[in-house]
Amino acid sequence: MNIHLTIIMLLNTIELAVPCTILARNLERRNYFVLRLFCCLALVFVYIFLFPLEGLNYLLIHIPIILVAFLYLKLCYKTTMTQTVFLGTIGYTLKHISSLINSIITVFFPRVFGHFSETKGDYFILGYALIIGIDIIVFSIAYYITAKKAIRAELQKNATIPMSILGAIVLIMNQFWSLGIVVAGADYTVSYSSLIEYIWNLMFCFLVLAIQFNIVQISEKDKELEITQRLIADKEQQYKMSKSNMEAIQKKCHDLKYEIAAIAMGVEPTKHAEDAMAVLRTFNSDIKTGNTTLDIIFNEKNYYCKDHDIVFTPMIDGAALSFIKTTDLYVLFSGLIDSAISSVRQLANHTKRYIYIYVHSEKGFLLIQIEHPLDLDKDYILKERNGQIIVKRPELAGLEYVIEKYDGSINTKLEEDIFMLNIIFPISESLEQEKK
Amino acid sequence: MRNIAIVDDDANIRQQLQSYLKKYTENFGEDFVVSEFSIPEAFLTNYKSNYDVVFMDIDMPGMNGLQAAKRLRELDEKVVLIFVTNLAQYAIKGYEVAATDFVVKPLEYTKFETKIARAIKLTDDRAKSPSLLLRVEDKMVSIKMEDIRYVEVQGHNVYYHTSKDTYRIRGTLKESAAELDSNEFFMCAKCYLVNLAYVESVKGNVVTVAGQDITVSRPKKKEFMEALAAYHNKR
Repeated sequence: MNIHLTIIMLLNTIELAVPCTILARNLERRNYFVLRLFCCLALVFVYIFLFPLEGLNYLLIHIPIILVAFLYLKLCYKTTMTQTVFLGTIGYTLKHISSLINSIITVFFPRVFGHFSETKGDYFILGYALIIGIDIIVFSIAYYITAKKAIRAELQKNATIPMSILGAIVLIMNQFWSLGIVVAGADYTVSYSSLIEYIWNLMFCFLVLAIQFNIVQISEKDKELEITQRLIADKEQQYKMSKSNMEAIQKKCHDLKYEIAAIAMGVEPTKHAEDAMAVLRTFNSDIKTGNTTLDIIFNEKNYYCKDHDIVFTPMIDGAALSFIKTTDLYVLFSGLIDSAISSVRQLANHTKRYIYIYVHSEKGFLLIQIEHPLDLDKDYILKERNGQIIVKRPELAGLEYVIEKYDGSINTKLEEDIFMLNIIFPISESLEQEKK
Repeated sequence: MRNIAIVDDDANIRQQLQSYLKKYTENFGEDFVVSEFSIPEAFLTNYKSNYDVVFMDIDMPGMNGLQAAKRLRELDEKVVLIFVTNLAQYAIKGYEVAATDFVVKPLEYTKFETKIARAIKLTDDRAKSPSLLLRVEDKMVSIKMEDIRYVEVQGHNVYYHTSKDTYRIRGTLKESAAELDSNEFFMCAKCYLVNLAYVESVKGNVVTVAGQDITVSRPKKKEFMEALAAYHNKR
């Protein structure tokens, strides 16, 4: 076994592990992280012993390297397949850029950087030190230019295929170039003829990064599209609700006209006056929350609830919601109330048709709590976690974007047949001062 | 046997609540001793902390329900307080006096049943109030779990910061975590296990627990917020 090449392989592994670890810093580590890390390292050692770096193995070196990157991310961190491929490919590309810059410098300063050659450079240790130095510079620049964005990237499921294809292309192209250079008889290590291959390869790496972030952008746009589609669906729902409200108002107006006419004719005026008051009370129950957006949403939903025998009780400290944008408030509360209404409407027992909504601030947090009975005979996805029964509601998944935008979190649970939802938002310091 | 107080100036509402409690007894076999008060002053004068649940009207002449609740909290922090109101919009202020729940007029038995069942569960939970036995130096110390604000590890020492004192024992944070309720406590950093009841604020990655700033690791932040949302969903 060539010790020198083995050191290079290990160096490659470290060069790969560093960007991948930087990229994975936002991900949660799996249990027994250190053990898993050792497993990955052990695998690298086994590979080096089984397939020493010579001949075809040397040419196919990129395949195990990228596979180790994927394996490391998937095995050590809680991540999806899409994220693994995305971060693994970026990590590999960054490592490759660093190696290529090393190789290009080697062409110009073979005596110092000629650590790849059989004869070795005259300044062997200095050469390795410079590799590490270049790695640090490249990874630092990469971190500030690309990695920060990659860490924050939120990938949709539909990005899996383009991301995987890109990962495969990166591999194939690297093999293709390496093979091409050897077939062409070029000195793969230290020669000016290799320079063209290195520069080509470098450009390709930049292209890969550009495409990667393009896919991220498309993925983010997809998410925005999903929200827009949800808003359109909400508008449809809104239309149906408005139509229902209009019909109810017309019906009530008709009743009122009848009652007033009866009073005017002097037929049982007391009874008709009472009936007329009852009709008027339906519309005279303005909900005032202290937040104009909520007043509009709640009053409209309230009319709809009254018409469908649902007791709708909001207890709202509207001022506490001032840090949430109007559009987000609308999306959030419309979604929450619509979901509650659709559940309660399925209850055959009308006495159980009620919805409580609480919004209040407590310490440094804003809490939104919704409570209503659920018909458990319907298809709800129930899961148990920490002794609590969690209710999975697909229609609420679309709201997570708004909740996470304000650093919030949502929890749902079931107590007997009562569905309870809680959303918590940290209130910013500035808002607290404003309130004081 | 549960001690219940009903504070409402409306005799009809008091009677209705009595009949609902009676119905609950018939349905679930839970016995209640009910005391009625038409004015809060009568309830608060010579108040003894022997009530499990208090039903309090908000809109009352003289001292209103919120003022009465504030005074009640000075006398009794633990009692389960349920506001009975037709002023749903103003009832939310009840959270300022640690109201446990709200019943909105007109009263209906179905909703009432849910509320009283939850209140009973809460009184049971509070009565249990589990304790932890710690070997501090050469003596055994018993501390209530609800008094623990956060647990901190430094080297081989574990510090239990409670509302009264700080206790040091030998051990690891994992051992401490195993003894504490996972729904109440959360390990938000390698060295800290926090009682979610004492979390005062979250700013970025910094969590303030009983005045102590603790940095939550980025990957743990989401999990921490989920735990906090679940904790506050216990009402």
